[in-house]
Amino acid sequence: MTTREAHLVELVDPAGRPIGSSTVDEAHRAPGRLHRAFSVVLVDDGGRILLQQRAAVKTRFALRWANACCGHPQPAEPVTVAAGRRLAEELGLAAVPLTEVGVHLYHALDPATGRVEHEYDHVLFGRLDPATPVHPDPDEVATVTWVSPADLATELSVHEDRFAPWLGGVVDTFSLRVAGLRDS
Amino acid sequence: MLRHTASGLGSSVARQVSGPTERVVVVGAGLGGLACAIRLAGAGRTVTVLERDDGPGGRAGRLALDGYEFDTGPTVLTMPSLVADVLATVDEDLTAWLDLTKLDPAYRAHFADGSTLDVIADTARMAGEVARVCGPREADGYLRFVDHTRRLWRLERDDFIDRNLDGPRDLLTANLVRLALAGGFGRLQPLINRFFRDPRTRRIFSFQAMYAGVAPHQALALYAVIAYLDSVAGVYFPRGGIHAVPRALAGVAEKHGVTIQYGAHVTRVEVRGGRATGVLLEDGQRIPADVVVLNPDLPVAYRDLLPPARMRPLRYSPSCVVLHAGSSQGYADIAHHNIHFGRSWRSAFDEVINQGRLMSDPSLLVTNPTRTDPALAPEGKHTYYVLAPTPNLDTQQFGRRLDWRGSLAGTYRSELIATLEQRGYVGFGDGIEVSRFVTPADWADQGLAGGTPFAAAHTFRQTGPFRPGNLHPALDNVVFVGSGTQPGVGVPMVLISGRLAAERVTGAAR
Repeated sequence: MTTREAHLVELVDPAGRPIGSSTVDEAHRAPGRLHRAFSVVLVDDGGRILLQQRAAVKTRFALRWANACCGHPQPAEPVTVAAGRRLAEELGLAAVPLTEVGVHLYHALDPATGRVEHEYDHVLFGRLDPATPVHPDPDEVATVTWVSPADLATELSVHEDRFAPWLGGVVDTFSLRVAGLRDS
Repeated sequence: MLRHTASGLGSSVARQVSGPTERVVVVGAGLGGLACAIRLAGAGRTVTVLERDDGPGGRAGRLALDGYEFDTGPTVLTMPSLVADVLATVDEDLTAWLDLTKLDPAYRAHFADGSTLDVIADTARMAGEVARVCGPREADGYLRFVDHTRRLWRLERDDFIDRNLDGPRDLLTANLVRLALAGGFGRLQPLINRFFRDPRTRRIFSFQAMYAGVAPHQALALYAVIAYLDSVAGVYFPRGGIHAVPRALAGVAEKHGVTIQYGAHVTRVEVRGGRATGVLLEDGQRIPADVVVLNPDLPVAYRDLLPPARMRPLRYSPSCVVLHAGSSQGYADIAHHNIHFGRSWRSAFDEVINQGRLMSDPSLLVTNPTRTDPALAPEGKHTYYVLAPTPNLDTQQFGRRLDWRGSLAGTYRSELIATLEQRGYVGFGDGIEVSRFVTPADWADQGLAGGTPFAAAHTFRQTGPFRPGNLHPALDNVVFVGSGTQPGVGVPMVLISGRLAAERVTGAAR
């Protein structure tokens, strides 16, 4: 087990209230235990979205494409603090101001490893200047790319299997909140 | 790994009707039905419009009483370019069909403290007016508000309004991301309060949420664009009234080969094998069709014209009463459109939307069309259109609904006249020569669900891809048009709904 698999995550009820803790490894064994997570969506002024391709060595959804950065806060740790930490660790990015736009609750099985994601996922969004150098950690991230939202939407509908299973829900949560069709 | 498509437009190709599309029957000659019919005729389809009334217009109808002419529905026309767009699809020019006057001021706001403020579409002059009434700092806030809402409107228009949306994924566009960066989310009232400090300007730029069926403190910040459309982009009046718009559209449609039958009562859509095959009329006539477009109020079209289908319950916008009055009295201190704000604000919305009560201190819209077009009344006389918001017929208080079929209509009419007289319309009651009082019961009798002319409210669950769709979920070739479907309520949205409905038949032109 890698060290990160031994980290603690915060278990929550379906309303997001903390109910205990568990290791990353335990929380992701079938059938999965609902825990707090975050997904960061980074955009540029041109309206593009930053995607990362997950590293080949990841235990869940390796080599699939996902939003800029995802992770789990430690018990009682604010999600924006945890997200700032992971942006630095995974992508080498300094502090990016983040705004929470909503929560995406989902359950997904990785057919390749049998691991399960069952997350209460806080969707955070921030602006990144595309000229900012990104230094991906090769143990976490294979590569990153900027895409147009329309291309991403098309690709998600045609080749769903190339993407992390939460990405669709994350972008929908973002879209609905921004378009004013869902409250926070 | 990401395939880069040439189109930067949208995420997916919008769905279309299946099968042949040569013969189209449009039920209803409202603004949406006519806009759709013209576009379809322009795209080479054979189009028949069936209208139960003896003239076009639907909600934008005409009431003639002893030489006075009244618009029965909308009185405010914004974005005439949308009418021009419809006519351009058959190479017709707007100016040949409509004589439009830009109203200056667009509105005059009258406040309970006796002050007035003119809403002028010219930004520089409006800043001067705001400075005169509320001071220079407020004028600066107004200019920042205009910049913000203009940007919001441009971002929203192309991707969220003027386009068929089949699901949330269709919202994922570059403009959505830009909207997020512009801070487009949040509530309307806090947004307005960021730009304005004076309670009077705060009301002027947020009351429009009522058009969308929601109170400003509940509405989304996105609805600031409605205020932008009428207070910044401008309000127009066609010679002959708003009804001149559907009359012009009907004229253009007939000139370009559309057959319009008036007095044609459609009783149901004929369905065989999961498709509409035509419509049946009250007199037994059957009119075959490849595609049927339905312009009646959407819930009523489902209820009366189509095979039984489950429909999720809708929440309707508040309704209104309208007093049409032909009068010998003229008033020098009013404009074409006048909003008379009551003292209360938040509670007034709450009374009508949530409590099912009449406003205890009503805010009223008074339109005086003869100020712009004297030909709408006999020589030297005047027409008034007085609108007061009321609950719709679904909203209950203590398990009871307001009963407009009893004595309430007469009582409330007298109350409104008394209110008008207190607010400066001296001798209003005595001046009335002809009148008609329209209540939610009358709207219901005209086939409007919930007894409201404002359709389903624009709540989270009834807007954008979540508003009842313009394609029937089971019948492959039945399309809806009008305020009950996407994109929504109001003359501009209804004209756009005509375009979106036509695109379901012909495919998108862009």
